Amino acid sequence: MSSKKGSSAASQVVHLECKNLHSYLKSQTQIISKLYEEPSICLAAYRDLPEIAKQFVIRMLCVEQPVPQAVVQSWGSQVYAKENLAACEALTELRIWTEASISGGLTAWDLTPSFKRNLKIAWLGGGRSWSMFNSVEQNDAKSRDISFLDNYAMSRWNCLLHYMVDSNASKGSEMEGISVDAVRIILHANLMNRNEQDGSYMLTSQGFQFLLMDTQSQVWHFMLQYLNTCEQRGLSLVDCLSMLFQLSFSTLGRDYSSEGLSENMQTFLQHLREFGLVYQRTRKERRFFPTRLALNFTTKNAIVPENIIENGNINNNINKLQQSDDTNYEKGYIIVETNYRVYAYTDSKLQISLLALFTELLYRFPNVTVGVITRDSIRQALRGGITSRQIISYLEQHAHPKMIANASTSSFKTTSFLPPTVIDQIKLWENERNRFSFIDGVVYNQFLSEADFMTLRDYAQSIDVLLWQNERTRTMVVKKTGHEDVKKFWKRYSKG
Amino acid sequence: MSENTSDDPSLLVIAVDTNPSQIVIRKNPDALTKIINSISAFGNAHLMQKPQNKLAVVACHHHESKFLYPSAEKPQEFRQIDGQYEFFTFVEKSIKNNLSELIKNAPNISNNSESLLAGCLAMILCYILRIKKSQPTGSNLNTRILVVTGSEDSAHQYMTYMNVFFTAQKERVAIDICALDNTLVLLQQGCDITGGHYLKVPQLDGLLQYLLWIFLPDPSIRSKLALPPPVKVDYRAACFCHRELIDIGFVCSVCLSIFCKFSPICTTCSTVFKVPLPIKPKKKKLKT
Amino acid sequence: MAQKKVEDVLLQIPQVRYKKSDGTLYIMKERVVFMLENKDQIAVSHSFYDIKMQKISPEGKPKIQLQLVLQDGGNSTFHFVNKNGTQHQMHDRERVKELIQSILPNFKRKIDTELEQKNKLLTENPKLLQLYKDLVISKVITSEEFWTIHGKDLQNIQNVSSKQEIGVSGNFLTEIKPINDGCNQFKYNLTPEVIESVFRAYPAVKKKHAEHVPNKLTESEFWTKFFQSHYFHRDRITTGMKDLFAECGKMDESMLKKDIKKSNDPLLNLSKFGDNTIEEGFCSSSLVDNKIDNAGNIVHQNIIKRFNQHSFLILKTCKEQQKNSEANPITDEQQDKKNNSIEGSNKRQKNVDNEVVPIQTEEERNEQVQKKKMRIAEKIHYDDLGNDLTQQNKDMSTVTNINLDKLERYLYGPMPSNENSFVNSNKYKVAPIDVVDMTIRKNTSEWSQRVTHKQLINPTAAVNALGELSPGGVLMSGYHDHNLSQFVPTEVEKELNNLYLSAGELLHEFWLCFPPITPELEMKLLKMHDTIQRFNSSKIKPFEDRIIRDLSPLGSQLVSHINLLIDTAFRKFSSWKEKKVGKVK
Repeated sequence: MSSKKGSSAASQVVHLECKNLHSYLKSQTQIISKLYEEPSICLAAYRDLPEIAKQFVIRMLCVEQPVPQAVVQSWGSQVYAKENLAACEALTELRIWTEASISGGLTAWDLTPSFKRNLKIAWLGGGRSWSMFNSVEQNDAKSRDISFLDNYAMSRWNCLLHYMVDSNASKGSEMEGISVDAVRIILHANLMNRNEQDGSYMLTSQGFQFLLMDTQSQVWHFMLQYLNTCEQRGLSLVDCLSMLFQLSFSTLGRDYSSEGLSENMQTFLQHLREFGLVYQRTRKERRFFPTRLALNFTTKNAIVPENIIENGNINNNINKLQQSDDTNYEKGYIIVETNYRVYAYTDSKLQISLLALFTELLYRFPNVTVGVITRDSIRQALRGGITSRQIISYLEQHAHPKMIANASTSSFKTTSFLPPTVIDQIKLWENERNRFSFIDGVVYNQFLSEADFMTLRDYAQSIDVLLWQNERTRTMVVKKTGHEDVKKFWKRYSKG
Repeated sequence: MSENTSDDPSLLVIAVDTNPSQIVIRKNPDALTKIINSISAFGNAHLMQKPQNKLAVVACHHHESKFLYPSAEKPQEFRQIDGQYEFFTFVEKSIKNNLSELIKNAPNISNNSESLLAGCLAMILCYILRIKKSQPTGSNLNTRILVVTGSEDSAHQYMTYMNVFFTAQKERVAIDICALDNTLVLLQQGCDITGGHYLKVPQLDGLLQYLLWIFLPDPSIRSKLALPPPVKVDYRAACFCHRELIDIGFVCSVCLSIFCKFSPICTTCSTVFKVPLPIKPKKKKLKT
Repeated sequence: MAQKKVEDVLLQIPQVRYKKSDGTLYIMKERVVFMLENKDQIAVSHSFYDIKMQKISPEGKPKIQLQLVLQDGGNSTFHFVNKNGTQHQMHDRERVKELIQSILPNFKRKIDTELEQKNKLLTENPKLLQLYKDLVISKVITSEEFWTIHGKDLQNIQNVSSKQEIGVSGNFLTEIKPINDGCNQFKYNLTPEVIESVFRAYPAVKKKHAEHVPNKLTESEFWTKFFQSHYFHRDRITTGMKDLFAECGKMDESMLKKDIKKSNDPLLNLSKFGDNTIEEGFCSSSLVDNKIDNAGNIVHQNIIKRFNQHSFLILKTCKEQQKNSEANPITDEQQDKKNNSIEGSNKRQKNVDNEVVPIQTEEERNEQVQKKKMRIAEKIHYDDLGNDLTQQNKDMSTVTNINLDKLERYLYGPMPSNENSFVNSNKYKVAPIDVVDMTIRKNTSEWSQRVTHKQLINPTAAVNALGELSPGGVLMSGYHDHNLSQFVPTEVEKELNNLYLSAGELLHEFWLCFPPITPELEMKLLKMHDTIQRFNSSKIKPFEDRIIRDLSPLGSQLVSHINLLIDTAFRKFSSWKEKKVGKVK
């Protein structure tokens, strides 16, 4: 998952900050030890580690004692020393291992006991079964198949997105409205703003960027925002997190029992039902089905394990393998041509309004919308805070299968199946807006003598704060941070 | 795009030699339990690395080879029993149940028999190709095979082995070998050609740790780790007359069979050679 | 006289000025020399090798000058100052110019091509260039030796640049632009190329030329008549002029007719060609319209006919070249015989309207059918889709099968036999196989139980494995983490690379001399040995010293291999020498 940070001082736009699992865990320093009591969280954290870190951890899992740091250092090849270092740092930050000292005065690494124990449980067995995974008594006569679950999930999620796009018209339209809770979360996440004058809700620039992200990132971001507020609702963060992660390791198409979940967790379950992460036939039903949105919670394209699907026979499984995991429920519909034309084979208002963010719509037909990417349309999107990368990734995510097929059969393999001209041009239009870089500085001029100027200038250069100088006019610009030093030097110099 | 990157998922196929005739097993029949426990833990560790990783386990018994996971038959219902991830439980159960079925239904074995590993590998290659074809276009799947065996080299299966190795090389499937007992020269050659790793396990107790150390990382990551240096492969050929390894020999120009001593007629294809005049021994040319 | 001119003086022009001093210009067999008056020295001397080309000052300029442009870019200008006037000056210059013109080509070609090829080879092949720099410029071996080694490459280039025939330009006639002199006179500028084109395109004219010149008419008269003739201006209908070339016209026409019939393409029906500019269906086009001959159309048809003839003749010149190079067995006579037979068959039937519709005999029809089949087969057959049709039958007969007496040898391959396998099993205390089998079957029932972590892998065993597999452990012997290439700077690497290239070349030549059966090989061997020694001392040793100083301890590792190569060569040489000395004794 990408982590976009930072804002340029010149514009008012704030970029959407989207933490990935590791950043999130790093920020939860107080509860992290409690979190590592859950095997599911340990497993999820492990999967997100850098490759080399994974190898280190698994080598140390079966060993009871701490391992000297020098030994761990030697496990990685010296050629990739930087990567080794990054892996060790990640492990330290996540509190997966800590320093310990062993006999002989050497420092060693020791895996956090709770993490070690629970990861081993998740991997090899033992311990208690996970709270959510209680067995169901009888088989469900009316169990649902996967495509139904997918449709349900997407319709629920699209409700949310629709609301964001068109809050006023959602009442009475074909889509159901969303709950007050959800609205509150959206506002809390700063995805929409309340307009003071008429009380309606307006999309912020962050909201725009949110809309352009892929579904899995959207769900993750949204749930994080939810979790930020869950304490206020009286839900324990640890419980919620553990439930979410357990859900992400469940099996698609299988039902689970909600018996044994505490009151709070039942409430949480209802919320998840509203967002589309689980499906329950009625509120009182004790059986629920996780949907693909829950499964993909931490990672994209979580594979549906092949043989576990019971409703279909084996042949269906093989056929499913042939499609990509996404196309079942999120079929691509955009075609981008090299003449900057965009054809979207959709009639969903949401998708069309998303396209309208950065293209100029030309025609709308019952099943096709035609737009063209122009400089103005892209600039308008850029002004709203959307980056070119977001636009490009949006187009790539929803690319029509034909475009993907064409790209893979073409003789020269490019990294993306969008036309490279279009991609480059969008990036160029973005770069056009970044022609200036601003650095705060202080101007020194009106020197009385050449020698003075030269001395001061050389000094500034030597401490690396000189930004610009002109000998003829005896003017120089120094970084703001270095101004103090230069002033002090000048005082000393002029005295002595 | 066609390069193996560490971001792509991997398919690992483990070929386990379960033939009771292996010395390892004959010395201690409980060793098979240990082996299969380690293999299922190792398989789960592979699945633990990335959510999209795939696994397959094939057992090579004395009468046939069979897929332990994924099962060929319809899988049974399973649920989480303890803290282990549901899916891992399923994998482990599949492997163990299918193997016990295989063993129970095997005919009684009366004599020592060779493990038909080469045929098993061929079956695995077919499976790998099928899985590769069913991948969505544009996605890349790294594939490798791990062979865990205690048998010795089998000269009878030479042709099949060579076909398997070259096919694997062409399809960019790396073949790793974990030898439990003997040094396997032929399989070492296969490792060398396909870019896999060879390890002879010093003792069976630490089998899981050895497997995790060396065979768990993907070949693209192996270069970043400090792994044992590659084994020096003995590529010497054996002469056709005595079946002994030779360095320098004579080759028939018609059928390419190798002999250690000169004879006027090739015994394999009955070609008659011209008797050479005594010549000065050729000076070996040392070149870079 | 200080210098006796032993060379032949071909031409001597006095009253020539060079760089403001007067003197005499001498043209010798191999060079051009200018001697100052009243002095016996040679002021300027240019060998013909050095002269690239000559230039003359244009007409109308007051100074009559001749300039010699040299290969290295310099030039020498000679000013003709004959006191008798401009005419004489020009005459002098003309003589000089023509003489130089005739001599210069002889010198030019020989040198240029070879040097040029060598340069081309060197620029195209940077490795070769590097070798050349290292070996020749540092005087390890001479330039000739270098080129004898790489003579093969040189020859390849020479063969590749074989001459291409220059074809006849289609519009060569237009280049002969007449210069209107004003008073009813046209001047035609004829260059030798134009004349040759005319001869190749119009063989009839060539024949006439051979007949008349130089016996009856001079060149210029011949050509004057040619241009005046009706033949040349055939589009203007000027009748009545009896001239040489009237027959040419008739000859050309008959040849054309023959050729058309010769191209007896079974798939092409020339008579059915029409010029339909309107697509079908737009108006009723009747092909009969072709026959309508208006008076005006005759002129058009004649022009079109002339154009076609001209193009036909030009195309024929290309075909002739091909024929000459392919050594076509079918001579023209045989072709004529064939054509005659066809013509003969044509005469058999009535000519209704000058359009020949031949009735074919049985054999001719068969022949045509065969031809048609061949043509169609040619079109639908693709070489790269499979075996060539004609080759298929041939290949089958050349395949022979191997008869193997002992097939199992192939199946087992060059594998050593393992007699150990089942014999060894008796060494250990192993249970008989059926007992083992039973035990295993019993064990399988226990597999459904959960195995504890410690049972799965004993922590002690795990620690042991960790120790063995960490660098420094038992299994990691021979593991070198530091990669030599990291520590070597790129310039050193490049230099080492070049050293290897040069050393490889020299060693290659050295080893090729073994066994030295002939005296030439022995000589070469001795020479190569000396060369390698020189190379060693001049290139390798300094390099070695330098990097041992700078990059120790890696330095010795870097050069150990190349030293090994050279030492082996030296050892071989000395052992050979000893043997030789031994033999002589």
